[in-house]
Parts: sequence; structure tokens; C-alpha cells
Amino acid sequence: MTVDGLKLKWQNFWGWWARHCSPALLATLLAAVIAGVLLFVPPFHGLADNGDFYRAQFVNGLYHLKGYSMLDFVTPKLGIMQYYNDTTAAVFSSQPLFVKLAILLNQAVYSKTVFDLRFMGLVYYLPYLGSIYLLTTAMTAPYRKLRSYLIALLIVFVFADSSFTLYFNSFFAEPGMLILMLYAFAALMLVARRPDWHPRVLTVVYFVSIMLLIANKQQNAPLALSYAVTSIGLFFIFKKRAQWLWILGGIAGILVTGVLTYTLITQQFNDINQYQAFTHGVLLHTDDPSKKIAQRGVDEQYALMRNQDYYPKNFAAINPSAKSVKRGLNDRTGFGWIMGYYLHHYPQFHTLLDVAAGDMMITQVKAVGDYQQASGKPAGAQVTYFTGFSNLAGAFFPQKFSFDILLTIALLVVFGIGAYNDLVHKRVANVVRFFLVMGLLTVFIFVPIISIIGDGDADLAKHLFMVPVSLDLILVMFVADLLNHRLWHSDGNIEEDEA
Amino acid sequence: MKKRLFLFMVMLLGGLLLGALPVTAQGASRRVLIVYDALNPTVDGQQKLAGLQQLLASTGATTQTEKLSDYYAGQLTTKKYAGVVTLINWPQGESHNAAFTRDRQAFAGQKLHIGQQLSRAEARQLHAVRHNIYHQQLTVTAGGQRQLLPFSEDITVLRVKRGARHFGQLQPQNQGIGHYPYGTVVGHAGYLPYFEASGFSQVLAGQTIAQLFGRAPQQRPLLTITGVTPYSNLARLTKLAIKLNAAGIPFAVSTTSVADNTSLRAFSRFTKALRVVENNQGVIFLQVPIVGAANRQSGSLLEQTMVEELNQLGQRQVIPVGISAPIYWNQDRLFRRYGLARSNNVLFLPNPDTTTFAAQDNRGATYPRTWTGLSLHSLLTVKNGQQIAVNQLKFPVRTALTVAFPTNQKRLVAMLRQVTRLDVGWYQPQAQLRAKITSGSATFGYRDGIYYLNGSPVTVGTEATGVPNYHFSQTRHVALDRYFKVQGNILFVFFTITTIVLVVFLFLGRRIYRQMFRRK
Repeated sequence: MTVDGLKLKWQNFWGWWARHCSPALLATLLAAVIAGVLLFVPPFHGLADNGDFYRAQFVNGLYHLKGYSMLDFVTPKLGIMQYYNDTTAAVFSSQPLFVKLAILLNQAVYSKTVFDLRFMGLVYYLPYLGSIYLLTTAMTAPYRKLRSYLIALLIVFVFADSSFTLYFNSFFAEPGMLILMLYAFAALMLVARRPDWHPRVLTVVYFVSIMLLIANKQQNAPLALSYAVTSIGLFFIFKKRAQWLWILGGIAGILVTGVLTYTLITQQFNDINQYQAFTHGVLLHTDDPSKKIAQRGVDEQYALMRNQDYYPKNFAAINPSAKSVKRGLNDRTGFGWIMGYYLHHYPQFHTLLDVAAGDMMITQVKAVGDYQQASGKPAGAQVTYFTGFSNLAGAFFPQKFSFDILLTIALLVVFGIGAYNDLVHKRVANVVRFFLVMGLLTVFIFVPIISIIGDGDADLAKHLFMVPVSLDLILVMFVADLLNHRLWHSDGNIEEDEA
Repeated sequence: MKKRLFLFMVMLLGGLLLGALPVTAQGASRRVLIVYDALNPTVDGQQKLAGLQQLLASTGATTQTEKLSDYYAGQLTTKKYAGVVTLINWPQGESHNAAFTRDRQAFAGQKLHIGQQLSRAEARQLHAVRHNIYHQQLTVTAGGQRQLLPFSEDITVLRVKRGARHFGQLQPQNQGIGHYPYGTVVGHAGYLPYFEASGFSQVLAGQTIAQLFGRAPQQRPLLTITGVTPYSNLARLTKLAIKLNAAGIPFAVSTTSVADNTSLRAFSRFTKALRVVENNQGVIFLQVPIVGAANRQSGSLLEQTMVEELNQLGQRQVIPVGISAPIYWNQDRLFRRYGLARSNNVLFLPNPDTTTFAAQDNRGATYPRTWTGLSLHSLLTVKNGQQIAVNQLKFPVRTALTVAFPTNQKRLVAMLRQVTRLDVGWYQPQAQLRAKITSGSATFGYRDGIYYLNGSPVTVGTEATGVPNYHFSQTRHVALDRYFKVQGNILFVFFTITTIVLVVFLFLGRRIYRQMFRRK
């Protein structure tokens, strides 16, 4: 066969392929297979209980069967309560929506009394595939060129990483956050880039996703401010006054959700966080904190609590929930006190931020096992299947907070130029993109700061969950727009390009 | 690997010697079976059970506690037990176990019944007739002392005919009903109409139990300050010690300590305050830590924690004379072996609200000197006429009268005034106490008022001597840590330069671009 013949065949095949399989479909199918094997094929994987699961289980009518494993192994089956459940929610959250749905499905299809963890996975899995489809569409449409498929593969590489999908088979709130963030991001970018494709529906999807995301976990309350910033771009898309009112309403809704989520944090949670912000923050990364805290009006004996948890893991000299601790420590070390302390001891705060920067790209929860006991793996064993991206990012992303700030400035400059060019040429897509990136970058910069002030380095990797998600989204968009020639001008056209 | 195995063997052997000896040496043949019907929290049933376990341990009786419904036929009669105690916490529940009733009847050892539901057969063994009194407020009296009980009860009392020993009397508020014995012992059988873990009733119940099960010598009470932690107000603690010494009152302090962060200044301050206690006629009981979570693997961790706490204190001339612990620690195999058995003085304190076990086996052990903690506050209403009569009480077992560490200055003053006015002949540790604690390879001792570390006498000064210097912030090196640090710095510099160059190029490029369209 001649070269021309080969080329013709290739073109025929390519034409057929591009006609039948869009990049979005390819990404979705790949993600479905990769995550599906991990989550549903026995012995399936997930994340073991870190001690927090009871909050999501008991309230929703699930209980532990005999042999329930903490930390070491994933427990595949739970009991469904048959009688009156007197547990009340310890926290306000939108997470029960997902759990309740999973139980309903389980009862309809599988069993009235025994809950299979995979139904939890399924409830996240299906919307997750939808979000991957939308995200790929937003990043590639309207093209179906080779580079579009490369972008699709990149999205799969990043967001089908097992460190993300393992969360689905667990009672963590994080999978909800991941999926809702993907929806919000994709919806906003689609409204900006394809204003003729269901703009209203997508705007509603955006606002609802953001609100559910904020209400998903207490620690997300401050994110309301970030997402108010990401929403500003909508004013450039919808030009009518009446539409502005709706958008203003949406932003107000986001802020109110944030305030509500914040005010509904229970006193007990405040005590825990405040205590750990002190023992896992103020007392760390400094030579002898005794004098420093005494200078700021706290009995220096409390320095001995360095590295203590609010719920002692084994033995402790005093119960941190004791009245004397509340009087002597918690009542004195409020948010303001901790801010003041770090202002006076900035180098210590900087070291803590570097610790946060070092942790933020490690998305796999190493503290708990990923396998079931029946799999024969040792306790706490970690999945290595399809964790390429999280491993790379965890190992090579610089562990300096100053780098994060520089990266933020660089990204703002790049996306800012795109926005400026669009403003000059009276286009909107890159303006919307700029505000979206700016909002996500505030997450990237401020969440570590808030986490350190709010809870020290306790549970840091989990508190930072939204940071890698935000940064991954920005990086994926950066690469996609670079390939689509849309980084500087939103009217970049690659139709004439070869690939 | 060999070294580890050897260590493990040594630990195992040590554990066996320490943990098992007190039980086997003096206990196995004298184990007492405690059978209770229910915990019944509405009447503080857990505390009653714990108080009973505590008293039995102090009289030198090892125990096995069993729920009535879990009792199986033949358990008593296989001659494993020297005695049996029946505790009824929930008479309304009317729990029965036919096997137990039968075995108890046939059992020839000591028997004590506490609470209602005394059967006719049991009364017959006590040579007595039962009599119920309903909803009466009672005064318990003995000798010249009396205490009005803060509750009213329906109780079954006895009219004893002959050959009985009595411990205290109960007087109902309705004088017409007469008065009845509180503790009764007839031969091998005994009866208490109710049990309280504190107050005058506890002292009298202790006398009854000592008469039946043990031969503990009568002792003067030891004044014990409880609830001290490294986070307590240390200035107040030193003041308390100095004032008590000035008043000529010897005392003990029960304090927890820490195993970590001992290189901090705060720990030096804490141990300095404890040395002030030691130099003012005070002795230290190291209180076991609170348990956040524990399981069957927690033994070695507890061993580490205790040894570290003891050694860190010992290095600073704070030599504990005993271990203090909540009573439930004595019902746990691992807590006994790695926590309590290292000391020949063990002081039992009331249980906290939540009790977390590592390996609960309900087999209470005894120690060469087992102290019963009894709140001093609960005895302040024992009067002789108008006078507080704590000084006239006869304590049947080694008793530590406990006072909570005052939470403010005002309470400290009030407490000092109260204790000095009581005029009690307190136990003198300096003259009477002999103590020995093993901690890893170290041995702590105390006799005739002198502290010993590994057999050599220790001088306790104001400042600690011989404390090794600590280096703060020991850095741990991970294999690639340094590489990533360098790499982080390189990237940092690289990005800074790139950003600057980018900005310069932006400006330059823009100027060139604009100049292309400028008319020349």
C-alpha cells in the first residue's frame, strides 16, 4: 500500500472516529472503566473509617455490623437500622442527601437490612461521570481534533486518579465536594463559551452546585467568599438588568449558605478546632513555646499539650474537654488570639504554611487502608492502581508557600492578559475565565492559611482537599486553552491547524 | 531481631512476675466472687459496684465480678472462691438465677448480701428475721458519731436474735419504728441493707467487709490532694504544700504527668513544684493517665508511657511513692500488669464518667499496700453532737481521705482552714510508709522519709540536678527530604527569574507591536 493510501485510510478512520466518539465521550468512557474497576469489581476498594464516619452513618440509620474495621480495612457491609433512630446530626451538612439516596437505592435493589458500601460509591460514580463529560466538553468543544482527545486524556489522567475516586466508597464528605466543584466549573465555562447552549440551566446548575458544595462541610464556609468572586464573571455574560437581579440573588444565596454553614458549626466542633489550632499549630515548629504563650496571657504549662489531640488517641495527662482546660485554654485562645500570636511570631507561621504547602498535593489519604480485610493485604495498605498523577504531583510540586504565591501571581498575569484582550475586543469568555481562576486561586492561597489558623496541622491533608482540586482545574484549563490557542484570545481558532 | 526477642522475653517475664505474683502469692485461694444484678445508673449502681471492689481490694481480697445473669451453675461450688458477695442494685428488676441461689445456699465460705431481696434462707443463716421499712430518711450512727443520710430508702433490716456482730446502727426519722443494725456479721454470713461508696456508711461497710473477708490493720487516714495535673496552677500547689507543712499536716498529692514534651520549660516548672511538695512533708502518687482509646495491643504503649513518665520525674528528683488509679483499672488485665503492678502502694480513686478498658477481665487484684480513696467531703457531716467527728472515725482499711485540688485562691484558703481545724491524727508517710516502684530498669524507693533511686539515697533540692541537656527541634532526615528542599528552592528561583523576564518581554513586545503601526 502506498503512503497516500495509508494516509487516506487514516483520514477515513479519523473521520469515522471523530464522528462517533467525541472527546467528552472518550473521557467519560475511560473514567467509567478506570474508576468502575476500582470501585465495583470485587474485592472492591475504598477508604477505611478514620473515626469520623459515625457522623454520616448513625444519623442516616446505618450501624456497624460485627467485625467493623477502623483505619486498617474497608468494611464492605453495614447494617440498616430497622427501628427508631434517636441520633441527631452532630453537624449540619448536605452530605446526608447522598447517603440517604444510597440507602434508598440499596433498599430498592439489594436488601432492606444490609447496606453494601458500593451503593455509596454508585451514588457518587454516576454524577461523577456526568461531571467528567461536562468538563471535557467545556475544555474541548467545539473541536474534535487530535489535541482535543489529548485534552480528554489529560482530564482522565488528572480527575480519574484513584486518590480521588477511592473516596467514593467511603463516608467522607469529600467526593461530594469534588463532583460539585467539577459541575460548577464546567457549567460556568460552558455558559461563557457556548452562550447558546442552555445558558440558564447551566447557570442554575452552577449556583446549586456551589451552594451544595459550601453546605457539604463546615470547613467550606469561608469558601463562599471565593465562589462569590468566581460568580462575578456572569455579569459579563448576561447583560439585562433583570438577569443581573437573578445573578445577584445567586451570589447572595452563596454568601448566605456560607454564613449559615458557619453559624451552624456546633460548640463542640469549635472547641475541638480551637484546641487543635493551639496544640497542633501555635505550639509547633518553635523551640520552646512555654514563654511565648505566657507572654500572651496563657498559662505556660499548656505548652506541654504540644501535639495532643482533642480526643486522645491513647493516653493523656488530662482530658482536653475538662472544664479546667476550657477555662484556662479554650476561653482564652480564640480566633483573634491565634491571629495575634502568629502576627507576633511570623517565621513560625511561615514554617507552618510551608508544611501545608508540602501536604497540599498529596491527595491520597494515607492514614487509612484502601483494601478489604478479605483481600489478604496488610492493614492500611494503599492502592497504587492509577495513582500516577497524584504521585507525580505529590512528589514534584514544590513544598514552599512562597512558590504558591508566585505561581498565583504568574497565573493571574497570564489569565489577566486574556481577560484584558477580551475586554478590549468586547468578548466575554476569557473575562469569565479570569474571575473563575481568580476565585479558585483565592482557595489555593487562603485555604492553607485558614486551615492553619483554624485547626493547626491536624488533619491538614483533608482540610486542604479543595486546594488540589482547584489547582488541578486551573492547570487542566491552562493546558487545554494553550492547545486550543485560547489562552490569550477567546476567539482562537484551530480549525485550520493540522492536529 | 534477636535483641527484640530478648527484650520481649524480659518484658514478658517481668510482666508475669509483676502482674501475676500479687494475685497468685496471696490471692488465688482467697478470691471473692462479686455477683451483681444490674448496674442501674439511676441509683449510681456503677459507683456502688466500684466502691465494693475497692473495699475488697483494700482488705486484701482478690475478686471476680460477675453479672447475675452470666453466673453459671457450679461456678461457686468448685472451690475456687473463698467468699461471695451479692449486690442488689435494682430490686424492682427481681432478677433471679436459680443456679446461683442454689449454689449460694450450698456454699460454705463467707457470704455477704448487700441490698434488698434478702431471701428467707439467707436471713435464717444470719439467725435473723427480716423487716421492711419504707421511704424513711435514715441516720446512721456508731459510737458517738452520727450522719444523716441525704436520701430516703425502702430497705430491709434485720432483727437479729443471737450471736451477731454489728457495725453501726440505722435510725429512721420516725422514732416509733426503733433502730436496727447496719452491718451484721454472723459466723460466715454478713448483711448490709444498702451500700454507699462514700460517707460514714462506707467506713462502716468497710468494717463489716474487713470482719468477714480480711485482716487489714487499722490505719490512720492519709490526707491526699487529688486532681493535680501538669496544667494545674503550680503557685497554688506550692502554697498549699507550704501551708500544710506549717500546720504540721503530712499529706500526699496524686498527680498525672506527661511522657512527651518533657524538655520544655513548663515541665521543669511542674517538677520544681513537685519537689516543693516533697520538701514539705508531702509524698507523690503518680496518677495513671486518662484513657482516650485502648485495646488489647495497648499494653506495650502503656508500659512505655508509664516508664517514660516515671523516669522523667525521677531524673528530676521527683520520686513517686505509689500509683493512683481509678478503681476500674484494677478490673483490666493490661492496666493491672503495665500500670498498677509496678508499685507496692496502689491508691484507688473513684471512676470517671466514662471508663475505657483495654482488656477487661473483672478480676480485681490486690497489692502489698492497697489504699482506698474516700472523699473527705463526704465525712464532714459525720458529727458528734455539734462537732465534726472525722477525727474519731476508725478506718478499717488503708484509707486516703481525698480533697480535690482547689480551683481558686478562695477555695484554697477555705480548704486549709477546714483541714487544720479537723484535728485528725493523720498518717505519717515519713515515719510509716515504705514504698517501691519499678520503672523499666530503674527502681524507686521510699522508707523512713528518704527517697531512693536504684538503691541509692536521693537528695531533693530546690533545683533539679543531673538532668541531661536537651536539644530542641531535633531534625529527622528523610531520604529524599533534602533533595526536595533543594529542588523546591531551585524552582522558586527559576520561577522568580522567569516571571521577571516574562514581564519585561511583555512590555518590550507591546512597544514593538505598537511601533509597527506608528506612522514614521
